[in-house]
Amino acid sequence: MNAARAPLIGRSVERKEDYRFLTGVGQYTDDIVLPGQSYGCFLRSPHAHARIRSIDTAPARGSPGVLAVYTGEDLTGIGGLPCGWLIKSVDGTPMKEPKHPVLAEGKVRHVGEQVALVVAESIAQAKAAAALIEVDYEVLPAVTDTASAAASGTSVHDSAPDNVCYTWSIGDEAGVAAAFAQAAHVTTLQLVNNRLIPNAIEPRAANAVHSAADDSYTLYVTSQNPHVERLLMTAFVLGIPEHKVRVIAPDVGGGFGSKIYLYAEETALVWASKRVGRPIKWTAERSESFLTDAHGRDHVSTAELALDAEGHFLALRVRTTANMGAYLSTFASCIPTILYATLLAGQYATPHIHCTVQAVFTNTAPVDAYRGAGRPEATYLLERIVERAARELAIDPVELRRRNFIRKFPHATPVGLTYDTGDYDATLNRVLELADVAGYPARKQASAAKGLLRGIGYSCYIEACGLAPSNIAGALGARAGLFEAAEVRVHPTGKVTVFTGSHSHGQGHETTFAQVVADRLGLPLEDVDIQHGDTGKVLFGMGTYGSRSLAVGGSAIVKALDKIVAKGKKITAHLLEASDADVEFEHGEFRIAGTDRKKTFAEIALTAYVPHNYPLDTLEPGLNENAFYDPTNFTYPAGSYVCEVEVDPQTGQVRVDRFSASDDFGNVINPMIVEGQVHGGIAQGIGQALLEGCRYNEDGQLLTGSFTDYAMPRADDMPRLAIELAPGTPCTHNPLGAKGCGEAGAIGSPPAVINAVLDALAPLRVTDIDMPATPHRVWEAIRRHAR
Amino acid sequence: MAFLWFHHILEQCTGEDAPLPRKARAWVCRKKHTFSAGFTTGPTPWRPRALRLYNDLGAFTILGSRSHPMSVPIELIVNGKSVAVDVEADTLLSSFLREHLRLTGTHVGCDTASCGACTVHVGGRAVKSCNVLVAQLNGLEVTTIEGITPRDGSLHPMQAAFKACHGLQCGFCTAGMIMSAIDLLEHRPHGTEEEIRAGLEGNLCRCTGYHNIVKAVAMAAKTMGS
Amino acid sequence: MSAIAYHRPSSLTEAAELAESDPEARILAGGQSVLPSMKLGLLAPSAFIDLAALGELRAIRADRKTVTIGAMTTHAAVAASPQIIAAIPSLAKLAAGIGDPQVRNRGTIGGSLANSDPAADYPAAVLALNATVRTNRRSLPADGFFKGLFETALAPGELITAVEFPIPGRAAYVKFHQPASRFALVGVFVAQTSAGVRVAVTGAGPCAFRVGALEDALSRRLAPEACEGVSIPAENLNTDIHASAEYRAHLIPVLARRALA
Repeated sequence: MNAARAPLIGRSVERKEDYRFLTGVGQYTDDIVLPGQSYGCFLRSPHAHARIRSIDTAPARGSPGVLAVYTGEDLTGIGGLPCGWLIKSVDGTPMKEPKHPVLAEGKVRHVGEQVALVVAESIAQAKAAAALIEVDYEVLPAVTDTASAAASGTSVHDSAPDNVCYTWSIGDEAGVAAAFAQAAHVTTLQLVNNRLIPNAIEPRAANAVHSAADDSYTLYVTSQNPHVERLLMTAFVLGIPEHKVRVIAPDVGGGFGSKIYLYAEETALVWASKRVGRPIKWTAERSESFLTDAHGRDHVSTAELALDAEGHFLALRVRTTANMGAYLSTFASCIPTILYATLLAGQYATPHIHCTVQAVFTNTAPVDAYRGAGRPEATYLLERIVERAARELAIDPVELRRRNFIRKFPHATPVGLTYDTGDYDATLNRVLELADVAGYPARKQASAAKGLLRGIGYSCYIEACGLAPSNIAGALGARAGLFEAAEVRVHPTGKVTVFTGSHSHGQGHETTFAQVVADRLGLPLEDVDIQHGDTGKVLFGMGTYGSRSLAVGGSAIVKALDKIVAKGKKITAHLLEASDADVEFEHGEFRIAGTDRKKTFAEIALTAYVPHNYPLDTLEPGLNENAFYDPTNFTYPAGSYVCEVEVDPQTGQVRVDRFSASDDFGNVINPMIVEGQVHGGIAQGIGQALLEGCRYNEDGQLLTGSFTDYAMPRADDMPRLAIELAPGTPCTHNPLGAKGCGEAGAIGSPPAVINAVLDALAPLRVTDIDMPATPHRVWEAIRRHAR
Repeated sequence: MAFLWFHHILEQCTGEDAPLPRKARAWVCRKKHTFSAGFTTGPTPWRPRALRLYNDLGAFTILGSRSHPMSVPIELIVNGKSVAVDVEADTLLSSFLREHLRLTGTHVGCDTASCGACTVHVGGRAVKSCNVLVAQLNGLEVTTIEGITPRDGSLHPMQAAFKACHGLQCGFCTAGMIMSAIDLLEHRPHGTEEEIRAGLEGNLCRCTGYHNIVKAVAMAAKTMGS
Repeated sequence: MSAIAYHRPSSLTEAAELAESDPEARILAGGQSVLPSMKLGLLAPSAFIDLAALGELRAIRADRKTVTIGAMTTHAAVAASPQIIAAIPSLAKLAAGIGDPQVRNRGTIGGSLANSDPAADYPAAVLALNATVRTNRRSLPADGFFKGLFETALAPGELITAVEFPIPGRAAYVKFHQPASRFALVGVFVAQTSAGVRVAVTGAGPCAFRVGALEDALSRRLAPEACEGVSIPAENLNTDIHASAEYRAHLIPVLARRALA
């Protein structure tokens, strides 16, 4: 490792984690079977809203193989599942936080709510026993519609009679009103951001075991953030000492937000595992996932955009109602506020913005962060209204965007964020080339010859990632810090294990982080292992969400590496009888500046662990460093997307023909992995725009409760994607210059698709359509306007 | 056929929207009241309200099959090894592989035979192991992801192509996707991109947007063909 | 509770006896509908009667006038059969579009027809091509075979053994997918048969049905344009979260036209 070699950072290195997934030897939660394994089954509510008059568990208790049956009454002294973010209403009152019980207490508030836990020798026995539990329900009217929830006259919770959790606002209302008074043109738009079901392909699962030896617990669980899971579960719900619980999130098959939260099932399992004295495993059937995984989006909004005569944005006014579902999930309250309204400036220098958000309870599954979380809602609203304004003013939609771009950085928006850097012209100009917009008229003509309507749609998104500066988050209501932790453990032979508080469930951290470490220490990639997802191994962690892993978790690793290098320099200085300040570290060698006197990294590592010739009076032996990194600002990935669709006017079928993207993620460690993240995000965005829509009927029954009714994008729904990572404007405030890439695709793509659909339908005078733009919905829109 | 069309049925056949009373559910459970879904169809004992079951979670999540299934002696070959066991009549191949043989590379991602994560080869053709009974496979050959993996630490050309093209992220759908892709190429070795996409119709991936999976299959088509 | 039994009869007679003796038993052909129904608790049979050992039900035979497909023939086998591709390419193409590849490797034509799923593809072909459903007891004409939602003319214990398709003149099937399940939201099969032009629709009603208005129009002139102006009433058609009855009614002539294009 003496010669300088090409850096690993910036290279599309094949993933270190792939072998185990490709060969089937990965270990997911359901793959784990513990000695003495027993199985749990949850009896769930068939009603959206009902009072529980009585529960008779006696027949189930006597059923073959049953070890225990528990209901809410058994969980005395157990707290509710907490919400991690306190939002205050405009009048200063705190949000309503009704108890979110682990097992239903007195009432059920959504279909699928867990009413009883049956533990048995086998899953079949647990299910058979659960069927014998007699629950006497008094069925109550249900509230399911977001827009009318506050006026429904039925209360989901007694403590929130009008179903309002909070009414929150941001921005300068008077300034906005004054700007509207001056406007030459006002564009208005009402829209729904459709409710989505995350559907990671691995269903949620948990396996809990208690050890009588030291009264401790181990929980294997499908989690994106095991430390947070442990903290919330022990400190807020079960009252078990935090250090007596080890939470392991092994290989996790996708999360997209849905595995951030502390759920009732694993909490109940941990509680029951001590009582049963056996490990208890529960794995969701997909039908349970549909009903109980936290859903995403579900906004109803009205927006008004004021423009001057030249098309400059003067002000934006937004009113949004956001559905929280029946209970507040872990991060539910901050999604339609802190992660939504703060993004309403987008890439534009709009001087005045005001947004009011009313969050409501309904008799539906809890709603929380799903890939993008608030930012797709903001981007969809903004990019739809911008494109509508362009159409109304007969200004080219690209030109209208350009006219309003922010070009000076740092830029403080009127909704609380300060963008540190960006170059929106660069990504827009590049995507216009990638999309061959110049060739669009010819393609439109070719489509017309086939009887198809072609449309083109644009979207320029921004997101706030790298969550988050703890002090700012705290001021905004966060009940947790949002730093990240890392430990770099150098072994005596110079090999390195890094423990990170970030969690990888598809993101490829084991490779990306290893590239950073290997480059910084001048080691081969195979000498670096990344460990994550185990509170018993990793010192602490806030986990993976909000595109934060590299920007925050990676930065923590860099901080720890800096400490390793600093200590290595001291050891080198001692060995070579030089001053610390004269030691340089490069390409895996500690060298006295301007000389050929040097020590390799492995030699220094060995010295640290065999400290025979070592400054023991001033320096500890060993080479192992921890670091916590708390970011000073959010990061602001941004980009431009162009979508082209063909619409069949006879059937309403929309086909995405071309999709192009230019993204600025700052510095990129592994382009292959980053592009993969964009591909996946775009698929979810196209899914939201054209296919996916969670539907409840007015009784609160889920109508899209399986993959046969909830349309997931399949390979032939997707076009070939033209993705390019922009050279980028590096983040100015973290050591890697990284901004985050996990959510961009899902944030930027829905408005591009819908704008394209509306462009295609413009000749038929269709000006509005809600997502998902299914064939049926498109056909109806065409028919409505044809009348 | 693949699947029943619940919501169509629900809305088509239920005049009323009132939830099915619990007693009726229990009746349904005990009577094993069903509608025709096999070869025999007598006068269909169809009761529209019973279809409320589908949305009536208390019923459908907990209704299991009968709890004392008959044992069936079977012999099959799994990944080249003979397996002779007695299985319960209603044991799904996916459970058999995962729980009895501890071949956990085959994953289960849904309960409607929609996602394809559990895809394995039976007699050389891709099938969803969650949708086949072991009892149906007497004398047949089953190959799982473990069975196509070379023992020397190298990779099958399809696995190698997925790695080279970053055709996997979380890895959960990967085994099923690879088993489908191998079957696809064996029966259509020179597919166009469109044919590859259509050929992967039975497998859901939530991570990759399929872009790199399609690329990987196209690459494997070259390496496996050569 | 009684045990769930598994039978693997070695003859059709034995299979029929088993089926007749236990009305709660379920025949297993490919099992692609039976098993998901069981998993969702919609079905809890007393026994499985697996027809896998009845190799004679897998035969495909073709002569100059007819193609006969054994009940246990998989969709994949139909799609790949050179005889069927040569004689009734539209049928092979239909089979190639059922479900997904894994389902096609297991699912069978007999299972599909006996199930009479309202959105299955094969019923449209059987009706439009004026096929004959052969059972262990008799031959059933296509017209009248599909009685309603998951309901057919089969008697208890009666087993489909084969389906005999007369070779048509022109024939084509066009399917519009339900986006999630990929079953037919509406599927239209148009065939020029010795009994005249027949148009059958699946996905739109409780079971597959023929469309007289289109047959009349196309009997006068077998051309895409003939479908124009034919309006299908929405009454009695399916409405669900994926499509209204009106939309389905609208799609029928649109797809019929495309079948002829």
